[in-house]
Amino acid sequence: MQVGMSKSFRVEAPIDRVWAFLSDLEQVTTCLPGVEYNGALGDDRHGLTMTIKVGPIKTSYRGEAAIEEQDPSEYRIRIMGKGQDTKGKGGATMELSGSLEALDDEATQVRGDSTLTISGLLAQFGSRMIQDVSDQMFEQFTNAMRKKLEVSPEGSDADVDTVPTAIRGTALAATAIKGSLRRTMSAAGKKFRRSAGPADGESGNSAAGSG
Amino acid sequence: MTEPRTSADIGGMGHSVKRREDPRFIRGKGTYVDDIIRPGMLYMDIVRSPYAHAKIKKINPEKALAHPGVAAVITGETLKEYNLHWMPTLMSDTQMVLPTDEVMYQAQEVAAVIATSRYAAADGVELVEVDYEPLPVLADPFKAMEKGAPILRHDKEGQKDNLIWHWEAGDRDATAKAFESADVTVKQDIYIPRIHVASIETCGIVAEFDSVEGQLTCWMTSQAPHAHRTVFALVAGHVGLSEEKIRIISPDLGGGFGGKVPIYPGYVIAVAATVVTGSPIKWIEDRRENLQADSFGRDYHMTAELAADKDGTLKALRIKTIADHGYTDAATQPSKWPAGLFSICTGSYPFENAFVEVDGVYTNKPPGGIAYRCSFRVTEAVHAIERMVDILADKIDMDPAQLRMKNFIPKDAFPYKSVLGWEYDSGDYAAALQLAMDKIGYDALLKEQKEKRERGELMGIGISSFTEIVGAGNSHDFDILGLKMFDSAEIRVHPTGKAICRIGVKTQGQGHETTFAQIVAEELGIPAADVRVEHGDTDTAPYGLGTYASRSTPVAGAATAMASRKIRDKAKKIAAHLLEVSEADLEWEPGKFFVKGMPDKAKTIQDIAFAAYTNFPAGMEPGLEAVSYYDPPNMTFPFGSYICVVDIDSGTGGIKIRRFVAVDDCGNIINPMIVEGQIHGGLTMGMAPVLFEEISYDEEGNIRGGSFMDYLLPTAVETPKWETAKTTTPSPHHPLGAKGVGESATVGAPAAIVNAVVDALSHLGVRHLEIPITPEKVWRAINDATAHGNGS
Repeated sequence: MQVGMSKSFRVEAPIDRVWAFLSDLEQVTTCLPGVEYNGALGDDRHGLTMTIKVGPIKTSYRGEAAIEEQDPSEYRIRIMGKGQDTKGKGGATMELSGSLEALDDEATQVRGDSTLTISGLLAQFGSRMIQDVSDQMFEQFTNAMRKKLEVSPEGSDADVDTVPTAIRGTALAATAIKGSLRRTMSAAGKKFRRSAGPADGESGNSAAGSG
Repeated sequence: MTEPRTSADIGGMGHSVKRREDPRFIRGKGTYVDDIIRPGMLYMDIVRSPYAHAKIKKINPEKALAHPGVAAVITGETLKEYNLHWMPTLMSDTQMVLPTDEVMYQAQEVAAVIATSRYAAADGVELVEVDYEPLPVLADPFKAMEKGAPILRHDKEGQKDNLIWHWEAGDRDATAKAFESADVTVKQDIYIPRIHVASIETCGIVAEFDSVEGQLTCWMTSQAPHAHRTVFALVAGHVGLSEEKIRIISPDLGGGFGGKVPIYPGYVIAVAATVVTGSPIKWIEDRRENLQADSFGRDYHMTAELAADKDGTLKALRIKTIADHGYTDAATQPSKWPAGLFSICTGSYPFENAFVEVDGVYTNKPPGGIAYRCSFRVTEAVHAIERMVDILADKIDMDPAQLRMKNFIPKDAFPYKSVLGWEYDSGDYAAALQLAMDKIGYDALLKEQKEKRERGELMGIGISSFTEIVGAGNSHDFDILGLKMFDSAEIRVHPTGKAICRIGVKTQGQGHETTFAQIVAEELGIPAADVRVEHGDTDTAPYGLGTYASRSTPVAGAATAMASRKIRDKAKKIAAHLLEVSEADLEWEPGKFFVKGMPDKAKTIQDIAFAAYTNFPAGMEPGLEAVSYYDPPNMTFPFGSYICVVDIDSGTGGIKIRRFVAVDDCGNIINPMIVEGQIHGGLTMGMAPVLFEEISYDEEGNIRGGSFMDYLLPTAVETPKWETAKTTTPSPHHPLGAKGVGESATVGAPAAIVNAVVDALSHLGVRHLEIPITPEKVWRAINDATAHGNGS
């Protein structure tokens, strides 16, 4: 299944500092929930392990990420990641495109589009929650990234451990369920007001699995 | 036949004899495969592919082998040493038992772990390391048919695309002409999704190889034990497993519905494992494996067209179908046509022209294609024609009941030869529909609907007047790998007048142990309670092709009647000897021969049985037994008319089946209670895919619907009260005048429900809804219609 996401958010940091962060995969991984950095593999490729727990299913993907394209003059970057479940229960690929725009000397608008493709057990059983899980992950990532970038450079290390080392299943699932419920309730509310169509998910999200 | 010929004490045909098998089931005394425990038995569990298509780079069993209790890990390479890594399918295609280099669908078997306990085996499965390289996935048959699509079966010589076969029937040109000159034509895409039988017992085997005697015994979930034994002998003959050394025992089965006809890789791996290890091996699927990897039903993408005169006279039918068979053609159907009996699609109507074509397509999905309580694509055929008749009725603004009545094949036209080649044995379609209309109060419902529409309430009435085709089948048209589709019965009457009847078919809940005793009771007058029915063990039962596609009564039932009659012929000779009269002076009534005009001068079947062992005529062989192998002259064509009434909640799209009247005609009935039970179950399984069940796949070939969390089986809560009734039109060619019935309701019900739901929304401009019709689909249809100004 595929999960698509588009997000745009503001970071109170100068564009070059944000760019330096985004184009350093080791740095980026410190802000990704559940991701463990396993070292550089050469050719801009980096080994990673990512652990996700959705409901009863805990999956660890071992794989690599690489910067496929980067254009420092335009502040654009494209990162590809792929991994296999360490227990042979599936795999995942992720394509992330990011671009930066300087709002002023001290603030940057970050725009990110990602497509996550999952095969195997997680896709079978987690499909109802995966969009919400992705949203959660992204939110945690942006918070961690802000924390890192919006403080003075010398203070940043202290904040790294606020990022969860594995995505905590129950808490995350509970939040995800709340997210689903909220949408359902909102859809019901709209229907009550005789809306012409069912409520969409939160804006910008699209679950693009076929059918 | 209206009144039974036998007394209730004898319990011949037409009596609702209580099921012989139920006391042991109710008391938990049944014996299923998982109840079999053998000394020294090991347990098998299977590593399955998470990918729908991937190259296997490496399988590392080291960690699994180091786990306490794990005895062996079997891979494709292990089987390759014995040339057992591939096997034929029942459709003469080929299938991997275990892969050596590539997996072709999610949940495909990759390796097997043998261990001293089920738990250790499951732990071992977790520890087998498989390194995959994902390959592009073709989950959509239309994409698989595109030019330039990757060729999935590159293992097959000469395979240039993903087409398995193209099949067509009827006259293409004449049908095209009829469409060109028709007053009215309608066209509709109709998809019947993949569904799964989800029987309460999953599949499994206990395989035990005696290395001293070279004897293999398998307790196995098999709807066709003899056919499976022969296939085992053909597949594994080269490793010394010849047919006389193989014994397959199919014990009590918790449902089959076609899902226990295929030979799954798990069975073959277990057999290989017992030969290799010398220990008995038990393999029992879990629910997810069963839903994800076992044979499915349907997955037919149909485009149907109907041509008619403006007065509603049906003129021509045309259907083009893409059939998604998954990775290999492992459909379990024995007809000589790759699309089975799909050409029954002209249904209950006398079409002059029809043309159907089907393309079978390979995709990265599990193989199968038939299994869901349906005689080889009849559900698809019936669904298409009964939907199209309603779509036409809507187009020409004619009442769907009236349109059917106007077009039915008249009852005096039987035996009727259909334009696509079937000879329907008997039918009275108008009588069945009329009875259904009377029972449900059709005219009053139309009036109620009119009033409700004015008030903005949604209510629909749907009809399905189906013609089934069951009882495979005559040897000219039907075989499994060359084995003709006859069936058999062997009856032995003991000296005390009791009997044993052994049959080549195998019950999975149909009540054979009761109904076959009733056939013997009907024919010989031995009380059904005195007849023991035995089946499912290839060492004792006569050769038969098994139970599926409603074939047991049409074929083995006929064999039982014929064997009984052979016994009766011999009994008559013995009676003449005992009564010292000539055979010509004797008359029969169930249970005794008597001298014409002297009913007191009689010998009962029990007297005769005793004499057969103690006082037989000079020159006669002692004993009283007979065997019959019955090759039916034709299929049987049960039929019926179903009417469904639904109420729809316009706010939620929720569908409530308010009433459902099912009128069935399956000819003469052996046990009315069992037939009614079959119809109740069949209606529920007919409703299930219309409202709930579907196994869909995403673009990466991930299974959505692979557990009961997603695959929604109806429960008693969702099941309406079924109202049943019957008409009786005997089959002229069956010795008992009987027809099959087990699948009629599964075949006939879906169109009635869809027609009802669409009818409820037709005034909003809704013409068709694809199944499963979820409340969401209904809600969207209502709101789309409202948005386009069709709403009231």
